[in-house]
Amino acid sequence: MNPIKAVVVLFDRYFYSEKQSECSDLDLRVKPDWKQLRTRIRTMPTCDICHYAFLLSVMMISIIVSPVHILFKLVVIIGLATIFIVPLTSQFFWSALPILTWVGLFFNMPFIPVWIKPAITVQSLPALETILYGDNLSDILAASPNAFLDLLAWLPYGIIHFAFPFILAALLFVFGPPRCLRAYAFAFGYMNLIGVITQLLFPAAPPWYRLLHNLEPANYSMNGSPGGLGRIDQLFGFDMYTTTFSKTSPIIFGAFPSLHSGSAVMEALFFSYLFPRLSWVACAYVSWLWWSTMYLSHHYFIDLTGGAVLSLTIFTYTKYRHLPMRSLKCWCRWSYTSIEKFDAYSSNPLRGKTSADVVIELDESFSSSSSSTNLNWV
Amino acid sequence: MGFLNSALPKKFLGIFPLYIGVELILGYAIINKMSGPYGLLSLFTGHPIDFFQAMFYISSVIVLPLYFHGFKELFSPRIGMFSLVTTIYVLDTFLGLLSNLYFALQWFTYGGEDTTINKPSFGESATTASESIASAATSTLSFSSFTASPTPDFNPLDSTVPQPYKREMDENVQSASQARELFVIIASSVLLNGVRIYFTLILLAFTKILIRMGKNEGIQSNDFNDLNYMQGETKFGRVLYFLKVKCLRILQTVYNY
Repeated sequence: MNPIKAVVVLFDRYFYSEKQSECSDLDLRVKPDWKQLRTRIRTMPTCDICHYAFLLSVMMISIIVSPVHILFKLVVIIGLATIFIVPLTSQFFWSALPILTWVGLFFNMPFIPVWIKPAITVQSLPALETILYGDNLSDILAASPNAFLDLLAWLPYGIIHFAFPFILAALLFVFGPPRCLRAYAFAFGYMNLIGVITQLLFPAAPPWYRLLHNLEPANYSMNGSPGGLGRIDQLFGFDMYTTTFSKTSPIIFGAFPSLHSGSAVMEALFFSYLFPRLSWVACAYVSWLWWSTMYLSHHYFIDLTGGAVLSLTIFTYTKYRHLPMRSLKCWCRWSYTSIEKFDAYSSNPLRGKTSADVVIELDESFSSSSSSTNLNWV
Repeated sequence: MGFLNSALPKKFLGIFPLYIGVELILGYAIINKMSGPYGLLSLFTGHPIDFFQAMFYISSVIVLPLYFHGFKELFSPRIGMFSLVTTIYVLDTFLGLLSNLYFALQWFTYGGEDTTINKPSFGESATTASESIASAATSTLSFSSFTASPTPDFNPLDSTVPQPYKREMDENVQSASQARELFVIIASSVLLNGVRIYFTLILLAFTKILIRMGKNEGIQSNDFNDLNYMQGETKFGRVLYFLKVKCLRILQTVYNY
């Protein structure tokens, strides 16, 4: 049998045959629906207007500072406008706007003029880490490297970190309720975007800087370092990380917060949402990645907690605002007949059980503001 | 204790229900307490730690499962367990403040230069690393040096150079001054400890309502189901039970219930 046909048959048997309603359908239209677009813009809630205004402003800054030719910039703008208007692509790209904005800003960071950038802090992170956690944990973990530990650290930091967001997106699309992928794109994109903006506003030197230069003043013309990943290049005998981290890295002094940690925690939270019984796997992965970032001298522990706190905060917001509820009775996307959201009011464990102190009116107002969100737009 | 009761917030950040705050607070606590297992890995890496550091990491490892349990149980909270979690969190906040002071003193006394660490090589950059380390001037932060700032070679009064571009031209002023570094360290420490105290009040407010729920509905012996299973339990279960009852009684005294 033709392998493509076999995949289609298997998909139809195990997934699509579950379909009972149209809530899981994708919009396959290619012709722009101007009327629907106008209606959506007119009825857009204020918070959504702020959301898109913020993202478009950041995107415009990225396009302005980018050194590419103006014709290429125009092509990018027209291309983006097209994919946001065509229904087939817009259903994915409206939700992915925070991710696109983050990627755009990240790769254009080196072109932001130095006179705008704040001064680089070299001593604040190790000092804060010592004050809050008793020592520089990255020093503790990087103290005795060997080839086995190098490989063990390289796997999550250099391989899984880049592949897992896509694998998780596919898992969420197939096994999660409809629209949960949009919530994931929103949360993942915003976490990274806020992280990169923080790195821009609070440039800080990573642990490898302290090991190479002690605590001497830094400047923006300095080269980066692959940290412990340089040993992986030595082990394999080819340049996989040294040039990338030394010369072409868009952010040299972006230690805080750690986006490796932020991404791992965000993935762990969505993975636990999708497969609650496998939460321990997600926790183990985060612990493994945290160890590897410190072992490779890429981040202080305080950077990791910064990224994790950012992720948890954005995930919690997304959970109550955008994320549909996972039903344990439904085995895949096509099993869902309706979409239900987390309700902040009914979830309240203190709800209605006492006559005093419980702020029910507050919960109700929070809950109603949550449910007013237009899911089609986020 | 009337002052404490009036100081307890009714909402988290003024707008959100308390339980959302508790969900975040316990999540943040778990993230922070992960420092314990990593700190104790020093036993295997040979990095020396002193007695207070060891106690700090061991206590983090001990409270980690408790916070996990509280986080997991948030949507069907039991009074005994949350009394224990809240009391430990209050204690943890107090000891955290003291440990921060102790470690801050350590940092400002001995500076950031840890001569005991083994500096790992980074592959090809190893030569550059050793050269840099050998040539680098030590500039650790101390209270006596906070007024010092990088001294650029260029003339800031040179009117031919537009002001914004002076910084771009002079690499010496692209690094934060000692005063700025000190400000960031102290301001962040104070802010984080302030936030920690606020989080403690949120947790106290949540548990207060939980205990009041039991009192109002006369479920002293029913909703306390986690306090009633001591018979036939293991020694650990009995110790846990004892701690829960103790913490509940302490909080009842604090809340005047």
